[in-house]
Amino acid sequence: MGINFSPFEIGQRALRASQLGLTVAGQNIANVNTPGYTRQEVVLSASPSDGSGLKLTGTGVTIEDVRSLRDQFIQTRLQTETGISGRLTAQRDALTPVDAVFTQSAGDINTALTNFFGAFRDLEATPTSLALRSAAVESGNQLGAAFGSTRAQLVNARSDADNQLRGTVDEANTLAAHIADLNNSIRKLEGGGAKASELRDQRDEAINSLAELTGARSVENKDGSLTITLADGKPLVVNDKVFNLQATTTAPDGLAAITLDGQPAAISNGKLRGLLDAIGQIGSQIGGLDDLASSIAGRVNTLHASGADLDGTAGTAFFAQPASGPITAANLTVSAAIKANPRLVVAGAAGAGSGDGSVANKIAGLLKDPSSVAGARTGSFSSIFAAQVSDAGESVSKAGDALTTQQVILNQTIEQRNSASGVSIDEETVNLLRYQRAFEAAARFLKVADEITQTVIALGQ
Amino acid sequence: MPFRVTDATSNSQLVERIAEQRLRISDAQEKVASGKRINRPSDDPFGAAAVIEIRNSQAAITQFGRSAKTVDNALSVADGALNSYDQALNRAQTLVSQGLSGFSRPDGRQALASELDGLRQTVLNVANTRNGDQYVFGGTRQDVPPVDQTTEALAATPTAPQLIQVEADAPPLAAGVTAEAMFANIDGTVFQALNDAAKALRGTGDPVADESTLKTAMQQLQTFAQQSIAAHTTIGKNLDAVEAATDRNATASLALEATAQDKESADFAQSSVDLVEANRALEAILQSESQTNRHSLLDLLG
Repeated sequence: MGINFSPFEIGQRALRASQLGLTVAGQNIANVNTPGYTRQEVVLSASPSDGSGLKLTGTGVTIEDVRSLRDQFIQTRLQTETGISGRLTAQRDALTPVDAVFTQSAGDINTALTNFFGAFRDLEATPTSLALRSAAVESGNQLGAAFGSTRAQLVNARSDADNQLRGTVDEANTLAAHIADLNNSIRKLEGGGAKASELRDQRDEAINSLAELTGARSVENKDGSLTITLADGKPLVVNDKVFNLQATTTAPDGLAAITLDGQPAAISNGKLRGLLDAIGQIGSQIGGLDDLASSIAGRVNTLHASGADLDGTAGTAFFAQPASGPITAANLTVSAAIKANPRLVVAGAAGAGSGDGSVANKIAGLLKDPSSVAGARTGSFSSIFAAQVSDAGESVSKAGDALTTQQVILNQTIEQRNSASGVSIDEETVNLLRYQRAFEAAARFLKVADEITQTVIALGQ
Repeated sequence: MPFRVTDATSNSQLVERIAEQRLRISDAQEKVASGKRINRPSDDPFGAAAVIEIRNSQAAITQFGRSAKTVDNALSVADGALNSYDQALNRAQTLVSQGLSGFSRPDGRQALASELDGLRQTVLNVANTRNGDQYVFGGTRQDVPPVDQTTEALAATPTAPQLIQVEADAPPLAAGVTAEAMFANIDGTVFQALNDAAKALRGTGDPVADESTLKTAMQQLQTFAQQSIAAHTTIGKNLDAVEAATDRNATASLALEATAQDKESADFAQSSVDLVEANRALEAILQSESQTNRHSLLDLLG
């Protein structure tokens, strides 16, 4: 009988397989808290048998692969849900200051409105009073100040969102560049036959972050690289080539428009979309305030000019017309002439006498007169302003509710991803145990094989 | 639930549950501290809009309340002035009546005439009574006295009663009567009547004409007395209308306040219960997590 050294090969293979199993389990445990880490497992198979017929014997274990348990379908879905979540989060966060503005302004503008029209109600009752005329002028000043202050706060909120938008564009470009680098590295490594599991994990995390910002989607190419595209299919990353987004300043408000390669970028989701939506909504609120201020000024001025002042002279506009452009919330001010001389404030109809308060009555009635028009809204000034406050609240409330719902969906998707690819310490502990036992058994097997061999050798001596 | 529950899943679920309860606590605390259900428009957008409208309606009612007081004051002053006017008219009628009787002597008739002159001045003062910086009987014409002090003629420019609104969706009320309605009619002014009577009492040399003048003056004074009664009635009616409007405004304001409170105010009891519940839930989560076996197999193997 010859000496058969195949048990040593079998033992060696067994030791290597067990060692690798322990290493992979250790790697998984070490990365239990690493964001985006995909757990790995060792794929083993029995080595092909040697010999023939009754002398057919096994040759041990073969390490086929160290495989990452990555589910691309879940990954793609995660990108989509992350993009939606990014959009809603950004929209809600950008609109929250608007909620605060209208919480305050609901008191400021509303108080100023009631005081202004109330001043004319008082003037109606005592139309000869100069003091009440002065009070009407002062209340007009405060109305202008309240509108101006609220508008300025909304403009600031919009400007903040715009700045965030520009910063996010830069962040997206940085991420795209990082993904391109990873594409290159992965392609080279895997092209050379090596595994790039960790790099793929990093790339998945970077893609999720980019999706959160832009709603971008990814498609894997045959060489292992990914192409990242926007909603209209235009690429941000192709292999190692990056196409940068640009935040281009536009007139008349100096807000950013996002372009890709000189064309408007199709951002359908992500933080950028959320910020763009919020900027648009804040713009509508600003427009609404401007419309309301313009309508108030228009109706008050028309009535005021129809009457006569304290000295019987024909009335003029109560609110000043700016040098250019319409009256807005930014420039609602009492006319300089009236500020300088409150006697010019009109109470009565032309020719009706200084004791007539009919025009003041009509002006006072505007607060609740349902026939006013401000932009697309019709109603009393009171109801128009109330509707604007309601719209502001509703936009924040809707964004918050949508985000809450989306968070549930996103969390479920993350749990699915964790379920498929996450690390369970209990499982890895079991793996440690089994590979440890296998290693011990393989070592024992080698010892027995060695003893047998020693015995055979000794027999021959 | 996913098939595999990993450490990351357990941790994130714990964080979510804690965050959820902390949000509930924060919400309930805010309602309890502020006493309001609506602390910002997003809490209840339609409720916030409704509250704004209600507050504006209340402000309008308050403003109408001030106007009502002004009207009430103006009418009361006018009524008081009319009382003085009534007294003067009554006395004037008595004097004219004495003059018409055959028992007055020339020097007595002079005294009657002098007193009539005095009454005429009294009526002139009544006609030009001021309430603050407004002429009570000036109506919408406030730039000149209703009656010229020298000529005793009514001001030339036309006038109308001052109309002031004291209630929403209601026509304005007259805040007084005009001098034209009180002190003049198609036959002339009360001043002319008193002046003519005084002249007749002094004697123009034609006793027949003087007697006729006195009779005419008496009729005029009686007519003006009727006008005064009508003015009192108008003023009384408007005072009642102001009072009724004030009552309705007060009722409406209370109703609006109740509605506003209903929409705006937090249910304190419910908010307190929510706060306690959320606190208990948070405690339960924290305790259960600390007591539940958070060990892995790794810990048991030592």
